[in-house]
Amino acid sequence: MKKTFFAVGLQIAIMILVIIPPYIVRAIGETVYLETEKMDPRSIFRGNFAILGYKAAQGIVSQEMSEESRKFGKPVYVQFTTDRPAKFVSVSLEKPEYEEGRVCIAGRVRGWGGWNPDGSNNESVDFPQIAQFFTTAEEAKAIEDARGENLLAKVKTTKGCNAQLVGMELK
Amino acid sequence: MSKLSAEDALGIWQEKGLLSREKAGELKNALKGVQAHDGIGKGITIFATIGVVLVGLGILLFIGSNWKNMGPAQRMLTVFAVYIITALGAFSSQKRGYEKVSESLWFLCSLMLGGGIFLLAQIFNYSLTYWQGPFLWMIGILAMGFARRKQAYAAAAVPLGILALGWLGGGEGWFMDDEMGFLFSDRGLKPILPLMGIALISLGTVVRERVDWMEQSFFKWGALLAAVPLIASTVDEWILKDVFSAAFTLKQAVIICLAFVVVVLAVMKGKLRSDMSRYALIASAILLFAPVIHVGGEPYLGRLVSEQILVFVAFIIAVFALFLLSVWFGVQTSNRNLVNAGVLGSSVVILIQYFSWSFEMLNSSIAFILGGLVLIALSVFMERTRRKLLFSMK
Repeated sequence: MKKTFFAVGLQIAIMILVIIPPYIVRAIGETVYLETEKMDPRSIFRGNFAILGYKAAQGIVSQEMSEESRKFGKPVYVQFTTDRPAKFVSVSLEKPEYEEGRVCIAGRVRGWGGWNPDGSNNESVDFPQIAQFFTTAEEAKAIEDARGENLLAKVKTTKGCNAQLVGMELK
Repeated sequence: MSKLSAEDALGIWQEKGLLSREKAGELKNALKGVQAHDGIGKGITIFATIGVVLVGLGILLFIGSNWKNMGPAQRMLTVFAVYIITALGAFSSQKRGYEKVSESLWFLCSLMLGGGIFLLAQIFNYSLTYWQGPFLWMIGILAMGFARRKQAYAAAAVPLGILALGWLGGGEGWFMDDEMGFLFSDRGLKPILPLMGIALISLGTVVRERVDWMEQSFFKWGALLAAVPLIASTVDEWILKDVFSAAFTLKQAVIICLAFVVVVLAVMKGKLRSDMSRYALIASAILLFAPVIHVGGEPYLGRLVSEQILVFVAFIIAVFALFLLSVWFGVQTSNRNLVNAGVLGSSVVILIQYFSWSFEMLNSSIAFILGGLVLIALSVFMERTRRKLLFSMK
């Protein structure tokens, strides 16, 4: 029975473990407001949610960086200003040094190839950890409709480039 | 052997002079007061299991339907409360001696753990492909498996491990992949699933003595992972190339290396039934890795099979022969699971070939009628062959 009690304790600890990291990010993270971008939902398994892409992360990765990221499975680190809404500063394969007034978020190169309106072949970046907002069916629909420049995602970010989606706000 | 009552068996042994009358009487007396196995035990397990699944689904539906009305704190409390109530129920029923019910409830705890992980993650808008979810769930299930020592825990842990591995990275950068991408993408696990299957079977032989509740599930999952892509490749000539097409990402390369390390470990340290099993493991690993070998940017074997119909036919025969070989090998090594897998695999290959050719060559109504007859005949053949082979192993 001791082993079973240990297993139960471990299972409860695992559930607690799931909620600790996001609370830490929310507690110590710096707030950034990102303009959302219209994107089609990609999944049928997620229940009521809104899929989010971010305007400032579109067409920012060169083909060379994209290839290196995808080949070696490396994340890309995108730096933004803390303005409301945030502005893109830089993108790199290395974690940037912390700077006052700037935040970074780790993401992945989308990998669909670039076809930007400005004619460049640059790729976009997805932030899977803040790419969906779970809510009720009605709210999800309203958010889907309001996505774009009118809707800002309130995101907490840490110096380690972790990010947590805290909520959605109208611009 | 048909089932005999203990009394009949004692009588037969006495008739054959294997047992004295006194000893038979002693053995008979020793059984007094012991409850006969009347099939009710299985019934209880089935009822308890169905009950557990219904309760689990009901709880998840209840949480789901009330989720929108709860704040984050209430949601968390609900998830933890449901888990703790289930654990208390399991503990209480075990204390009262309801073993089967308590085992089902302990298993429900592990199911609640999974539901809890994903519901908690959802509060913080984590992605469904949050790979840490299935990984943590697997750890929790294995911990309970070590405590309860039931095969069901290993059977549940394996797909969770595959899911965690599949969603980890996915070759697309860092830590997440699309939901099913790992099963269909060249950058995912698809081309190396058969090799992973052999590694899983090998792992089962390594842990056989210490963790006996894992071996059977590891074998069954391993056989499934190894067989399904091979069988699917016999459906059409282009499928082999598609299934084994790999991008050779860092993750894939690491998994391939680890799979071979596990196979070698099993060959050296595994508790195998015979030396033949060691050779068979190595041969299987090499055979299942061969289609992954790329020449000129595409799978070499796949290209050959897709370009020449005769090579495709030879490939089908080879896959069929491989399953027959596994039946023979299963009989030689008294491995019932291998016999079952071999009989089932070879039958499915026959069935696929029937449906592949018959609809091109026959009127559809005749094809259906003949298809039904083929299925019935195949079932009879499978049942007879399996029974005969398993009986010969006793």
